[in-house]
Amino acid sequence: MLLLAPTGADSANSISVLKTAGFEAVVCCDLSEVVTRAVEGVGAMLLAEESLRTPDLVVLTEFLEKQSSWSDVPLIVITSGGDTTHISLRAYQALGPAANLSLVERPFRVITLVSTLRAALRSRRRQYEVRDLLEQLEEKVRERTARLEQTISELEAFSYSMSHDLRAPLRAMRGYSQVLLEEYSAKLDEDGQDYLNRILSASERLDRLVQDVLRYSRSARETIEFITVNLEALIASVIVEYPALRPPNAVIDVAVPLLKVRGHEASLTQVISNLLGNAVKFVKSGEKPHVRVWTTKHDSRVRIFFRDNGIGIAPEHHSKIFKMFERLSAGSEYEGTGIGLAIVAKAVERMGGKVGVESEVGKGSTFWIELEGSEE
Amino acid sequence: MNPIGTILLVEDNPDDVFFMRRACKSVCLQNPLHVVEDGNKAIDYLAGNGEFADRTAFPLPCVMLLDLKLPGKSGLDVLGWIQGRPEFVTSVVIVLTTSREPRDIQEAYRLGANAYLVKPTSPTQLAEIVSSIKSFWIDHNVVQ
Repeated sequence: MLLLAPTGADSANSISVLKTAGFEAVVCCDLSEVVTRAVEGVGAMLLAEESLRTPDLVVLTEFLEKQSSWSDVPLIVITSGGDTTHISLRAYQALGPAANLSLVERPFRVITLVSTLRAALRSRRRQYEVRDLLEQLEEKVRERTARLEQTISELEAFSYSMSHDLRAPLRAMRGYSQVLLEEYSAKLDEDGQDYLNRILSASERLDRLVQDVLRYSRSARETIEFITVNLEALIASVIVEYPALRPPNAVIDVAVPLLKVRGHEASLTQVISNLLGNAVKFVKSGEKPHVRVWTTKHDSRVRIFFRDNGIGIAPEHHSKIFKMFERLSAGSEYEGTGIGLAIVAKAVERMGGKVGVESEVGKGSTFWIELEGSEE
Repeated sequence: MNPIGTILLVEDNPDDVFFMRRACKSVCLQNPLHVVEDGNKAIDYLAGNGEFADRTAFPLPCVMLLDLKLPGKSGLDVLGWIQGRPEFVTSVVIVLTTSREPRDIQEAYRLGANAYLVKPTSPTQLAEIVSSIKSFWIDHNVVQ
């Protein structure tokens, strides 16, 4: 494919030269036609310098600038030398930054033009190959993404029904152990009762685990709607719900007024109850948990801080704690499933926010979440 | 108020049936408890079909406790069936299930459930739930 915008007598001449050399060419009468045809596909543009005189040169530069990333149409301008060189110079300056431009000066030998065109067409062919490869690649990415999404939703459905199905036998284990303890403890010696208590507490732990997995999978899947959330009211409602967050068990000190944020209320309630729950849980035994909550503004974003007087977290663990099943405290001193902060991270991520922690061992921790602020 | 009305429990898990019976006993609930183990039987019971034709032996329940995940017709199917029938407009249906899925909750309420409760894991909590059902839905709630 080759387009040509000639003026005057040499168009017929050029055409015959090209035909002899085996090129397919279309003759256009002005640059607008060149561009209109080029949109449908073009190997190279061969332009006579005289045709660039017109003000519609801008049509060509626009076309060249709007090319796809893979495309760089070769442009060959035949110049006349002598007194019209300044047109070439202007065209060169105008097209220079946008064009894959070569100049061929008259009088030229046929072989010069033919080899220039061959080189141009060859590079153009490569560009089309790149385009095809890109299309194939995109198609492949689309296919794989679709397959991945399918797998993810199957996995989620699996983990959901799995967790539910796990809870039924768990309820039975827990229920019957409790019935045994209530109705038959007189017939069991101390060891027997101890074993039964262990079964009971293990099944309670498993139950918490399963529930947390469910919560996590819900926070990863559920559709979220954004509204303006009044954090003061939300934190107050969380504190009302959990006795562990209230005196005499703990002091939660909220630095009112708190800035408002945009978020999904249910997710945010989950996030804040998990963070406050952790803040009061990980304290040295005998110490009374004291948590301070405040907000700061960062451009359009709001950061909510939760500072505790707990045992703190060594810096090397800061990146780990937001991952699933990462528990830093060994043994049973601090009960937990290792999912709470993973839920926080996932829920905040889904609300377009960020989470973080600043902490040192023995000096308490400050967890923060950052969300879009709201002026409402 | 219907202190002696029948409670219909739609539940396929025999362990859950056991715990429910025990919880009823522990809070001294006098109302007879009938158990059917799937959605089809629940509908047959309400419609008085086949083995349930005798209304003296199988009276219409004053409260129905309905599990959602059931073999055959699901709890939601049963709710849909009830919703389409004017004679059950005052029937009290309480969903009692393991599912906490927003989809299930919304669908159950849309189909006319009166309450939605998530099965607790401990018998103590179950007894509390049964006790509050008794006080609210059986002792205080008015349907006729």
